[in-house]
Amino acid sequence: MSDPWTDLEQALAGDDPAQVHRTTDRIRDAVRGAFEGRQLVRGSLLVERRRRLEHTLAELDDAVAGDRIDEARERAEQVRELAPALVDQARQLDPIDAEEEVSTGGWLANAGTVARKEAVLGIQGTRGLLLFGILGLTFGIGLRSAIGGSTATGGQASVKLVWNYAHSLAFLALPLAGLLAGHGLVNEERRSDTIHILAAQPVGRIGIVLGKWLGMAATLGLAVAASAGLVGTAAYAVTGTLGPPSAAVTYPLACFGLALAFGSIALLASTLLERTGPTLAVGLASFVLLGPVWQNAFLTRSLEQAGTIPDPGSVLVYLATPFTAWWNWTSELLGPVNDATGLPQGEPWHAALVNAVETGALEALPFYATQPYYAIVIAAWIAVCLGLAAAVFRRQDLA
Amino acid sequence: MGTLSAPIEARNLTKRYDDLDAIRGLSLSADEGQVLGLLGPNGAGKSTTIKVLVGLVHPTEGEAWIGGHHVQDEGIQARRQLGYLPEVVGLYEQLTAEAYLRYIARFHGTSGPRATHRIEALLADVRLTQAADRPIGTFSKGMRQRLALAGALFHDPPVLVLDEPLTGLDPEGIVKMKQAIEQLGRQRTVLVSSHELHAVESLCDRAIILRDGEELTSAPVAELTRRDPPRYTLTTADPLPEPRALTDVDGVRSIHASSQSTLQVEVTDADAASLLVDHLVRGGHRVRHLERDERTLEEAFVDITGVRA
Ligand SMILES: Nc1ncnc2c1ncn2[C@@H]1O[C@H](COP(=O)(O)OP(=O)(O)O)[C@@H](O)[C@H]1O
Ligand SMILES: [Mg+2]
Repeated sequence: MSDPWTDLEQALAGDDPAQVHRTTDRIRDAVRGAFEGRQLVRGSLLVERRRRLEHTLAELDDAVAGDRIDEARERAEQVRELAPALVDQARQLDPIDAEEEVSTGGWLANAGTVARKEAVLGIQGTRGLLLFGILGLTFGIGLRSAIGGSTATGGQASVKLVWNYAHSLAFLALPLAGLLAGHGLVNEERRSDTIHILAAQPVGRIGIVLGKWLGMAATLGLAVAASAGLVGTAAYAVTGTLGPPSAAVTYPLACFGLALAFGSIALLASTLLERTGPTLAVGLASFVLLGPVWQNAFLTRSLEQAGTIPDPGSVLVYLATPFTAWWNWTSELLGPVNDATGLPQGEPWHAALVNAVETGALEALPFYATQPYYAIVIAAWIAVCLGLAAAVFRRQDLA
Repeated sequence: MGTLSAPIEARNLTKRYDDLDAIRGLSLSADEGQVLGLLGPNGAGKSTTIKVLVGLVHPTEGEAWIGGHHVQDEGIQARRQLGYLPEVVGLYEQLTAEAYLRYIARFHGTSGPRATHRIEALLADVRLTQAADRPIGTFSKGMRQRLALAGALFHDPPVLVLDEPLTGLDPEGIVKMKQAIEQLGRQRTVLVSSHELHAVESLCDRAIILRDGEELTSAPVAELTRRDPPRYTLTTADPLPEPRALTDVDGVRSIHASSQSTLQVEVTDADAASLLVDHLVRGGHRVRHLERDERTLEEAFVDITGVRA
């Protein structure tokens, strides 16, 4: 059987619109057949060619129906030129493996691509090394302190102490870990000029910001999970139990949440500022130094109240809670450093921590007793930062 | 389905930085299978124009479309049809060439064995098969450029936008890149920018010459390089005793003799050149060669602006 486009001339000469329509339909079928089961990329040359051919066929049908014979001949000429090459090229495409899912490469999937790259590079690079270092070290010190410092109680209670120690110490390092994970995500790509190729991919600006945030969350999640896993394994090895789920699960989750909030702030900073290294260092330092001001400005509360719902409270007070609690706890832990009088008597530097654990003050620690409230405040921080970062980045020129 | 649109279309683009217009009121349009040159000196606005088309820079005024998709409102669809080679190629130094292309592949919904097949072919095309497993940090400028080009071609886009693709390459690299562009331009629409006019004039079907953000001229390259009035180089087999006397022939405007047998003749039109040949033949001379001189794009630029590019 002959190729359908070779019959086009004859069909046109026959002066019978139905005959022409039958021929154009056969051409459409031939093209469909050639493309069937072939691997295609959206927007690619062949897809565009096919679109063009179909458009020309429609115009040909129109011209025949409207009895515009010159136009019809011209369109037929174009079809005869386009169709054979297109069918030929389509047949050369790789066939799709039926098992494989054909992803569309939509913007959300592409945000996932950004996230994946961010996580892989984040974990492999110095960023990941520092992150694992910081969290591993703090969780590890907590573990060591707990095992060495309190052997009085056995079983469940002592495992809980392990978690308390680990969590308390990791909590200290969380802002640092978060800032590290989110630091420079956007502006570093601008400085290294990699942003141009990234932003030229079929992923929107919002997809890029979302992808980077997801990648950061994955990196942080992995670092927290690995550190917590280390503590958990060690606790299990020593005591034969993992302790109450509230400790083994809630503490690491609370750590992850706070780190993520700080990471989101860093991501926002990286869209707003050209260089974030110095800015973040200064920001972190002033945050710590301004702790007392911060605390007095928003709420005066004791360690025991940290993480509970402030009353009465403004939105600002609510949003400040994680940071106020963080600062409260930091100053509590660093107390012996400020007041070194006990050290010559052989009091360990983490005496305050030991004391807090033994008096049960840690039970009230953020955000053991008030998880939903804590989660909501953290989520609000993340949403605000992520939203602002996306809005800012969307409008930016990547010159 | 609406009417088919040009692969690249821009209307009245202006980009203002503070009080400087990087481009002003620029319109352009490229047809299918056309290599369009965006030419002009440094700072003319070439990269800014390209960044607007790719969606990296938001125009202050005006609009642009790639394959009929508005680059601002339908950026993702527009960029699906687009391959972009930036002026400054930034790549992730830690990734290997293969890992980089795998990353690009994911943006087009391709991974696993399907991607491998394409990646192998592309690496071979850009002569990086040997370097596939090396980190990009160890690559030379030419290798980076080639890898970035492979990435831009991954999804076989109908539109390619190349910003200064020849700058910084060694002579062999330039030749190879030109061959690649020429070959790509047969099927695709290619927009290529360059501040070295002579380097791309043989590649381009059409050229837009920019200066200070504004279009000086936009025309087929053949038209830009045509001299007006025409000039010919004429070689005779025997020395002419009195070349200057030929200015008396009808239609000859001026004569420049580089030797007694080689003349540069400026004439009013093509007919005048054949009349001159007739005249010489009648005078008993043998004309060995007659060729119309073209001006280079650079000369065209100088003629248009009175300024060196
Ligand atoms: N981000 C920017 N901020 C301010 N001015 C810019 C920016 N980008 C480009 N320009 C200015 O716009 C003009 C055009 O630049 P560009 O498009 O890079 O030119 P070309 O690519 O032709 O060399 C130059 O004067 C340049 O200094
Ligand atoms: Mg430039």
